[in-house]
Amino acid sequence: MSDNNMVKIKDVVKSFGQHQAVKNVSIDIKQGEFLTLLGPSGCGKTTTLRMIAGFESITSGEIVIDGKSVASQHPYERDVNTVFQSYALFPHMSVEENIAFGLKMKKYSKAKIKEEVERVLNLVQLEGYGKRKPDQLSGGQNQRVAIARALVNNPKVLLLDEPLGALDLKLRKQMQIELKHLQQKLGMTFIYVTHDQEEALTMSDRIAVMNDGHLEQLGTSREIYETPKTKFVADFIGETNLFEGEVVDSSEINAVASVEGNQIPIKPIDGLSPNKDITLTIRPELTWIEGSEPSNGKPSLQGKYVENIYVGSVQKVIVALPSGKNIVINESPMNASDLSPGDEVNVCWDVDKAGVLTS
Amino acid sequence: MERSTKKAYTLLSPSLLLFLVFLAVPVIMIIIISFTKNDGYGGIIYEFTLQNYKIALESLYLKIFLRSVYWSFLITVTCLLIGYPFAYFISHIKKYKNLLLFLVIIPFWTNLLVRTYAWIILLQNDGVINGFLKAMGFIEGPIQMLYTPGAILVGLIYGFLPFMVLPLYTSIEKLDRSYLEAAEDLGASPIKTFFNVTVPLTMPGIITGCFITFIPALGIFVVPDMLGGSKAIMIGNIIRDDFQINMNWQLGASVSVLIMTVVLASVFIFLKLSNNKKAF
Ligand SMILES: Nc1ncnc2c1ncn2[C@@H]1O[C@H](COP(=O)(O)OP(=O)(O)OP(=O)(O)O)[C@@H](O)[C@H]1O
Ligand SMILES: [Mg+2]
Repeated sequence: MSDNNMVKIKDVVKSFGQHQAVKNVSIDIKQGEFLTLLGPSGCGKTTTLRMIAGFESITSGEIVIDGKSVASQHPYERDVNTVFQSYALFPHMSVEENIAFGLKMKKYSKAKIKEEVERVLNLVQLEGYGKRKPDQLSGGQNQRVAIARALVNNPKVLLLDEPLGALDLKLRKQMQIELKHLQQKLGMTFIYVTHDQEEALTMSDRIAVMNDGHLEQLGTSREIYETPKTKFVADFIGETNLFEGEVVDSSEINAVASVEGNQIPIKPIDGLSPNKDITLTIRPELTWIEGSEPSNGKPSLQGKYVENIYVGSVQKVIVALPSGKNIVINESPMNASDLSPGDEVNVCWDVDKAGVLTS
Repeated sequence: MERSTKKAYTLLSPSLLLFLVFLAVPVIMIIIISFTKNDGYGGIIYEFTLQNYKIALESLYLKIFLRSVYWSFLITVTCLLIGYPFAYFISHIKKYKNLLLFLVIIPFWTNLLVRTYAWIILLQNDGVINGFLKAMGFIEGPIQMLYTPGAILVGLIYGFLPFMVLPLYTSIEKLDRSYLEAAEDLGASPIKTFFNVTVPLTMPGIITGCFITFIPALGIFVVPDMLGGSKAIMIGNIIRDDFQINMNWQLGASVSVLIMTVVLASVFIFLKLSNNKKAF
């Protein structure tokens, strides 16, 4: 390996008949990286993963694993393993036999297999469960067995297709942390598929956001969340308020756009020019409410207070703008507001905290 | 819970009645007759005797019975070897799947007797196959095919293949493809995947197919009669002859009871064994 890329996905296309499920996706994945493919249902995440594993042929483009193009390799010849969404544990084999399967295929000695099975059972904290059948385990335990069965082969890349999808919220959160720790401990390259953006943000080194078969944005969790490059990413990751607008004036140091009928200062990013259409993305947690218009030139929008929704850690304040559009503001439940519906309020934010999207 | 059991029995009652009248009663009658005496003209004298069983266990009958078991076994294994790849093929293609399934089911709509006649037309000395071979110049005189053990085997395999294919197809079709992908993912070649995953997971279909081929094959008499002439008889022919020709119902009944016992015992033992292994 000249560079330290373990997997290179180069301009990969996958067509099913007329339908393109994956469109010109290119991603380089580093050795030891935790990369997540994130996107809504049907966007081509599983298809991409299956092409890496070898279960789907590539219509055009190339996939390179550890420096070798894998186009001609069958799944059983590739040095990658998959944790399937449904786990696909062999129901006629015990936990031990399931885990030993890969090593048996590689003709390891009996003693070595036993030792390795013990090791991974330990790793996934399932000591003593080896003799059970998959139908005698809980969902979470089966999930660990599926991970152990893949890990024991020590693959160059581990592929995980929504492995936590079937678990309840609490167990899922716990397993997210455990999986992440496991990955760091082993230094193994993980390619992880999920449609849960919170899960992606929690676990990933980098996230590839996919939409309708193409790659929307590739970046670290922080980049994806804080500086989304497209409207889709801004909308899909976390909660946000999106406003269409038009640039009125722009220079190196400041810019103004017309948004909801108001002239509002925006972040002066590259490529702005008067009359250009933009989208402003304002995160609820980066806004606040003031009774009167801020005097310090901070951007703000005036509207009428509608209601207050308590969701535990925060309360969501809904404000209706004159256009009828709602804007959502997160406030700490401590700041119990004494507003009543219909009150005039100003929704404010810092200029550089609102994303400006030009596409 | 209890109510639903009751309801189930109520709903089942017509079929339970049918089962009683047409299966249980005749079987009980056979068992009773097997312990009675023959008046020499085919009449039944209701006196208890074990004489029939003594004759039924004589070496001639035993030999034919063992031969029938051997043949049924051969037929079952051959049907499995032909039927499995075929069922596998049907469940893995997309086009023509229904057509092929239809072709498997069609024979069920035609009487086995009629279909066996078709084999006679094919196999006899001036039949289709001999005619063809002669016309092509491969042979001078006809090859004797009809009335040989080979003809019986071919006819029986043909007759029972659909019984084997259907349960196999059902269990192969049910097999979740993700298991096969998991095996391949873990480094198993297609052949290893087949023997380590596909076969064990379709075992219920294999067992069902073997039973519903083996058991009727053991008792059949029509096919050996028509294709085997008088030379090769199976135990089914013996029973039929005792009832219809020799007018010795007692002997036919006792042979039947013995076969039933053997079959039931082997089914029972087999199920017990496969249950104990907790394979499924
Ligand atoms: N074997 C196939 N034949 C035809 N179309 C397919 C096939 N597999 C997937 N597709 C289509 O390709 C698209 C992408 O599917 P894919 O399974 O990759 O989505 P996904 O992102 O994994 O979605 P989800 O989150 O629901 O699992 C979908 O529109 C799907 O209908
Ligand atoms: Mg998927």
